[in-house]
Amino acid sequence: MNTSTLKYLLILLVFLVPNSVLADDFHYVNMIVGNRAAGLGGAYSAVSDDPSGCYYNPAGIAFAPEMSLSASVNVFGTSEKTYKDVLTRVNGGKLDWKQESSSLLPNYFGVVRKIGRGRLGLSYAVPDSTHRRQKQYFKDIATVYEDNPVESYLIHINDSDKEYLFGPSYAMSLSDSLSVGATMYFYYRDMEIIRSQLLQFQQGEHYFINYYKTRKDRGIKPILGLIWEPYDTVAIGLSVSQTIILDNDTHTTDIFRETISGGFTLVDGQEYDFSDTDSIHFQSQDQDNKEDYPWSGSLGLAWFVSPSLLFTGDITFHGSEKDKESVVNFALGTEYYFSRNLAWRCGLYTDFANTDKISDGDTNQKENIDVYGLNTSLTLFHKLSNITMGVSYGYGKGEAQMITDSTLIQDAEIENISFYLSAAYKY
Amino acid sequence: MRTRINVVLFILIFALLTVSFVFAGEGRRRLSALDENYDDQSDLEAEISFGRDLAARILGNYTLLDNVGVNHYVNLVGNAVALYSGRPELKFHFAVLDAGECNAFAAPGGYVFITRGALDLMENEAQLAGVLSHEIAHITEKHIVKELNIRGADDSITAGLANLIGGSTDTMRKTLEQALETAADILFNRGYKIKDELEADQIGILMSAVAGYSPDGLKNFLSKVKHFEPEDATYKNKEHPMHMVRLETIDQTIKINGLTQNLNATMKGRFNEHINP
Repeated sequence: MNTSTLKYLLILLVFLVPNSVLADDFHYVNMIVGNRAAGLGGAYSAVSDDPSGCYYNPAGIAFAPEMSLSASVNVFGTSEKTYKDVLTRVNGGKLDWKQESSSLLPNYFGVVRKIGRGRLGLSYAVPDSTHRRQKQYFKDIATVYEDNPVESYLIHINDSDKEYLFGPSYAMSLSDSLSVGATMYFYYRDMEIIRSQLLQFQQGEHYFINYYKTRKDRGIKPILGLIWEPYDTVAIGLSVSQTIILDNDTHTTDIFRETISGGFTLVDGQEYDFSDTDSIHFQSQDQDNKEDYPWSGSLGLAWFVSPSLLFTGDITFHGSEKDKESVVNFALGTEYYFSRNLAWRCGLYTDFANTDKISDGDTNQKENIDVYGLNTSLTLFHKLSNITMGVSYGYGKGEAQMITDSTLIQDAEIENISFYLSAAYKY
Repeated sequence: MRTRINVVLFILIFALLTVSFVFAGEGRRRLSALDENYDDQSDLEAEISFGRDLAARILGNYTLLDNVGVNHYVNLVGNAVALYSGRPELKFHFAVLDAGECNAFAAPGGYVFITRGALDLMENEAQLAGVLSHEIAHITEKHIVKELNIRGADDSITAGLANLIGGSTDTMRKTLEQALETAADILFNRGYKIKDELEADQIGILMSAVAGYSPDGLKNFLSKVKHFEPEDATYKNKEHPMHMVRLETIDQTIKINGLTQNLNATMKGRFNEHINP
């Protein structure tokens, strides 16, 4: 097998180990946080008058009832991402990549109580949690050489990525219609990437790669908020936040084994000596990669039409930062009480990609998939407690370039569905 | 077609604005949070149980007056006005505390205490009835119950599921313990809210007047004790002290309700017979 064959094979393989696509860093609304807030599609900046307000707009908890409040939310979420026509079979058929993700976790817990002139809150949020898996086995994959196709191709992916926020909030009213508040979250991100693949060629050569990476980020996420009620039934909310990474530990390990040919070849920025045709190549390194996150600002408007009806909307701006483009997302929500014991909520939201549209002729472009979502929930109230059952659905279409240094563009789809069950108390 | 859509949109927005105007004042309050005073049997039981615990705490700070006659007399007067409290589901208990200070306490569920020092300053039964009525009004209006949100156990399926999801039991237990501390702090240190004090004055006057006592009893007693007591810690406006506000409110209440004729009894003789034999 000559050098160009090897290059082709490496192109086929390398897309599995780029650093930038290990987790879904391309979107900001990977999981809608909160109880009532989730039902409203996350349009909560101008409402925020319960424990979820600590996350959306801490100024809102100043409007919480005098009683203490607590809320907890449990979410079961599944997601499927499909990259279409990534591989071509010998018979001309196309093959898709399918990655699935699911997680069951406590998504939010918060308490708010009156302290002095204001309200003190304490909350825990998981704004992003994925456990992505891909387990696919392909046969008879075409290569540029008709006499030596890939006979077997096995790929396993097992990625997990979670972001945690925990911290206090305080809000106080400056007047009957104006409140300010702040939250200081401690930020922790725990990522683990495990990927392996094996190619077996018809003429006997094989290629094996295992990639392992862990990344831990520690930092802070301050949130400042303000709510102004120009009228009794209208509220305008504004909040700004930014995640600041203070400490990072990244560890990567690559293991290659191949029986293809000799010579130095560039793989993912590294040179490897394949002169020994039956060798194992190992590389392990620790890094300190502090990622910069953009600041975000949300402007919300809520109209409390009556005690039974609420309309609310948010516009959220995420700034640009190095490899992330600026994004504007929208959310709209409504709440209706059928009776004092039963409320229905519905929300629409966007989750646009923070990447440029993919253009023809370029290589190594980040995937660009815009997601649109619908949330709905029912809440049962009884005396001092309530429970909420809700479902969230998101769907997006876009494009991706899965193969390194290739101008080929693949269509991509994301489909998310999650169910949540939450409880809230007054005490 | 577009015109029709515009008309529908206009009507919809107009209707929503009208509804919004009608409900102006409710603001953020949601339907589930309105009328939070609705009670059931478990709430009543919780009120009485909480009041009993609070009464025990009061008796932990004071000694009961060892005089059966005086205690019996105060119970008779107290229950006479409590008949008009509007809370027939409560059984009222009155007791005299052996303390020289001038004070009175009310614990939810019907427990009322008055000090020997307060009785010493009184001149007639109408004043005693006025003070006891004021304390009874704190109970009937549930001032502590509302402020601390004392509620009964929620045995509904909703609450059960909520407990299961969020594990609230321990939180609720600790919260009730905290509430007891807060209630004791209200009684012994920081006092009731001003609006609650004024409401208790207004209702107390009417209660004692309906029971046949002179409506001036509470006013006369307050006028006398203002020289002996420090100002209410919750009301620090020196230009307009708490006593003055209360006396003005009492005057207005008497006037508005047509009680200025003051034809009712003071029962001075019976009072002296039992309290100052």
